[in-house]
Amino acid sequence: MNNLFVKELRDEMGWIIGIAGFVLGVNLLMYLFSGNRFISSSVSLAITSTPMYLYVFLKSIGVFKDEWDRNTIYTLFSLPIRGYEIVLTKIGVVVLEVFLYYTLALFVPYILTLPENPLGISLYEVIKMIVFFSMTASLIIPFPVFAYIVGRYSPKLKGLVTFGVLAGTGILYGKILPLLRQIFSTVPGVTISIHTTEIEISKTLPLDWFFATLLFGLILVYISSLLIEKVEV
Amino acid sequence: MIEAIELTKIYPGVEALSDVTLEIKKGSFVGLVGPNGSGKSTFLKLLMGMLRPTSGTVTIDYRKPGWKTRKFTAYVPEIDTLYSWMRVEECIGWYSSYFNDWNKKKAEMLQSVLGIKRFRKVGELSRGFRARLRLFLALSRDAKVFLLDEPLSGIDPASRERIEEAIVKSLEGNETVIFSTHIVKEVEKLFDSVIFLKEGAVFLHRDADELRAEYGKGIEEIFREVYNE
Repeated sequence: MNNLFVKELRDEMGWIIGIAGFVLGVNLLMYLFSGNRFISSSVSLAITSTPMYLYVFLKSIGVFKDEWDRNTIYTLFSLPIRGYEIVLTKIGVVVLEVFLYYTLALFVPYILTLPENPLGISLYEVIKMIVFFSMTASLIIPFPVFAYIVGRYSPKLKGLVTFGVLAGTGILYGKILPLLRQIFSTVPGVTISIHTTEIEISKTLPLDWFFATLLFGLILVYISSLLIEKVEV
Repeated sequence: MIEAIELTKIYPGVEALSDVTLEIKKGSFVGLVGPNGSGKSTFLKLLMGMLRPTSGTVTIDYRKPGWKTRKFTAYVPEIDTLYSWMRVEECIGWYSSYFNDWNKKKAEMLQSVLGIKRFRKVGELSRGFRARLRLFLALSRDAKVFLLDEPLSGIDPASRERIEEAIVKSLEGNETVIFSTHIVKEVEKLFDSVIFLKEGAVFLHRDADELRAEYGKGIEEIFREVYNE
């Protein structure tokens, strides 16, 4: 599985470098041209964060679609590997890209604004935010992955089937989310605090929906792992 | 070693394989011949577990094809399937890491026979060299079963000779080989038996020497006769 992950990483190297360059570029531009470092840090995250969700969605499909488009799926399917190895390594590399994005988007402004630290935020809080935002964005991944793999079962209508399965999975998720949230209702939330001379924010974000979505996502990943072993190439 | 019983594969609107029943014994070198679209690739993909039968069964070593049978099955696809961004050296290292039956000595021998250039990028290789590399990756293994799908198709004569030489030198005789081709002339001497596929069905499946004796001509001529070429 390690070799497969390294392959995925090398396969995605262009995108990884692109993400790093984009986030660093935005941060540096904001830092250089904005008079207010506080705003530059926040704005740079806001600007670069919204497309990230779309990127995660498309990339989750793209890492599988590329194998079919380039015919390299034949190489992958000639190896004695299990479906879960293919699915997990591909998901793993997208998660890594998400973590890289948020690490750079949040950590670089923090470093740039030292030693003044106008945001008044501690390194611990930065790390907490990186983990929280990254994991939240990563929750998207299983949905398109599952939909795309199911779509491959219908080669002629794969686009339509993928869309239909995605919509159906979304509806199902919406329906059973309240039930799943009950399971994790006792999980404490995560508190993120920002203390400056001007503002004081301490916000606790609930985590029941996070774990509920994670559970739903893991079920999708499990089914995807079984399905990819039976899919035709 | 390989058994197909009433094996049928239907793609939407096309019956690629129709009611194929055959048995291939361990250690035999089988020529799977037929024109394009006769079902050769479909049959090999079914043996690799890359396709599912519409009906009937197929087994390798009494097992359904899948990730377990790939441990001892080496497959050379007809099309370009390697990662073009990998260096040849990296591609070999990565691919070989999945197989316990990778034979370093055989790989060294095949490298010189096939003229594999280790330090170039796969994407920079010519079509012929990429075909050689695909074959190199499969033949460097001590696999029990080799499934070679049109390894000579679209290949220049120099590469064809090298490929033929590599096959002869790398096989020890106890492997089961299915060599799919519509170019029979250069390789027919390798065949122990021949399967003629016609429109997805087995038209003939006989011992190669018996066929030659019965028809009084080579497999190439029989091929032309069967397919009216």
